Amino acid sequence: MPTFKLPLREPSDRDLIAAAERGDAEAFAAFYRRYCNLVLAYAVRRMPAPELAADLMMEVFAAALIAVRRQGASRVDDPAAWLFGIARNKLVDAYRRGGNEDAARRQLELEPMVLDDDDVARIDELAGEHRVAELLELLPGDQREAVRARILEDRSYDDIARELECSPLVVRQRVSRGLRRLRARLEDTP
Amino acid sequence: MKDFRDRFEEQLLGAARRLPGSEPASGRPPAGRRRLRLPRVPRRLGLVVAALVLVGGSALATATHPWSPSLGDPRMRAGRPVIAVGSPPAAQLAILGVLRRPATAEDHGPQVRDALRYLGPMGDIGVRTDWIRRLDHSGGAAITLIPVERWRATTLKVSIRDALCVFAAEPNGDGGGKSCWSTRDVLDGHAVAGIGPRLYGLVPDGVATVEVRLADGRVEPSTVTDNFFELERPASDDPRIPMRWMWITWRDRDGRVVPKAPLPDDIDAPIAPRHG
Repeated sequence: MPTFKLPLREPSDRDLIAAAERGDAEAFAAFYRRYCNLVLAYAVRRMPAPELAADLMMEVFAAALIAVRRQGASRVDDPAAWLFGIARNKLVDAYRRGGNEDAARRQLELEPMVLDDDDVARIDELAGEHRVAELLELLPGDQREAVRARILEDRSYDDIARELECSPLVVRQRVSRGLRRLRARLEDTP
Repeated sequence: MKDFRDRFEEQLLGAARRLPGSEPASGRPPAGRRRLRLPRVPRRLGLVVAALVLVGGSALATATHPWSPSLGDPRMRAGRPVIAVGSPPAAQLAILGVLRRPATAEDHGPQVRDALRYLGPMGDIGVRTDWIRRLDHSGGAAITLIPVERWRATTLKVSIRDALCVFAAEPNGDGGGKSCWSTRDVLDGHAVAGIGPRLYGLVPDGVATVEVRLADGRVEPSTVTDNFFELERPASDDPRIPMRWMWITWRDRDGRVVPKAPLPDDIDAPIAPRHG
């Protein structure tokens, strides 16, 4: 009988990143689909224009792809936190430079993306009024605090666990579940 | 119309394929690393998996020799749909014997390949080619089951994860109609569509025949093969329009009514096959 493992659940972020590192392009595309709206929502509240937020989001994923393929990602313990770490670094760079860089996209030889009015309207809709804060409010309290602390404030699991009086493993689970809920909400965004 | 996020995804996918260590230009990863390595199956769920392997071991074995047909229309500038990295969810395999049986030559025949030309890169995301099956048995235009990771109709703002799409070719060979349903739709009896007078649908394991009550009160029976039924409807008062159907009753092989039972909320949880 052939050996065959039947996947019983959606691949985790680590599954996708590990597969992407081994050369599976579709796995990275799946990772992108999973997080593009969240990264966009993160950027759109911090950039002065929707076009710049989209630009930042694209540069983040281009940099993530390069990191996965050329530097390896097996050391990435938490791909979501790692991805938002890249987003934060790119954001800081953008503030310092007075604009986004496009080094990763140029390295990948990606064509410049021109946004039309519909694209801008979609980003505006995604942003909404305090969109990220609203989305976080939809999460149960324990998940909300864990996601806020880990993703938006970049704190360590140990640090968060001490504050929330639970184990780091529990914090990981809350962050993971919270992000899954947020992704599901954002998938409804046109 | 494509969103910039979709357009960027295409660019990113192309870049990922070009980078060292990525798949060949065909877009099909080598069989040895195509599937994600997933964590050990919990013992309880392992029993369900073992049962599925016993029931449909040969069907699952096809996964080690993946089918790589041409997807989409090469003339379209939007690109081609991609082949999925995983299999259908366990719940789908558990209720649809057609997915568990081995693929036949007819499942990979020219009419099925023709149907795959109509898939789109943005609407049909992650085509599960190993589980594509030809459904019709009446000798008419082909009707093909195409499971996909996600089907998206952006104009309607509708998206179905793990969708079961059925493409019915037009008799004249020019295009056809596609309907996509979720696992829940099948279990609820909502996986029904029509093209011209031809009415067809998907039903779960355990349904041997269906009875279709038409608008004029007539009841037309149809035998289920491969979880699929089809029948020709008579014309309505307007000869150009087929008669509406009102109700469909499921029956098992002993003629007993099979209820369209509501499903638990957790659709992703494996459930036991209804019929051995």
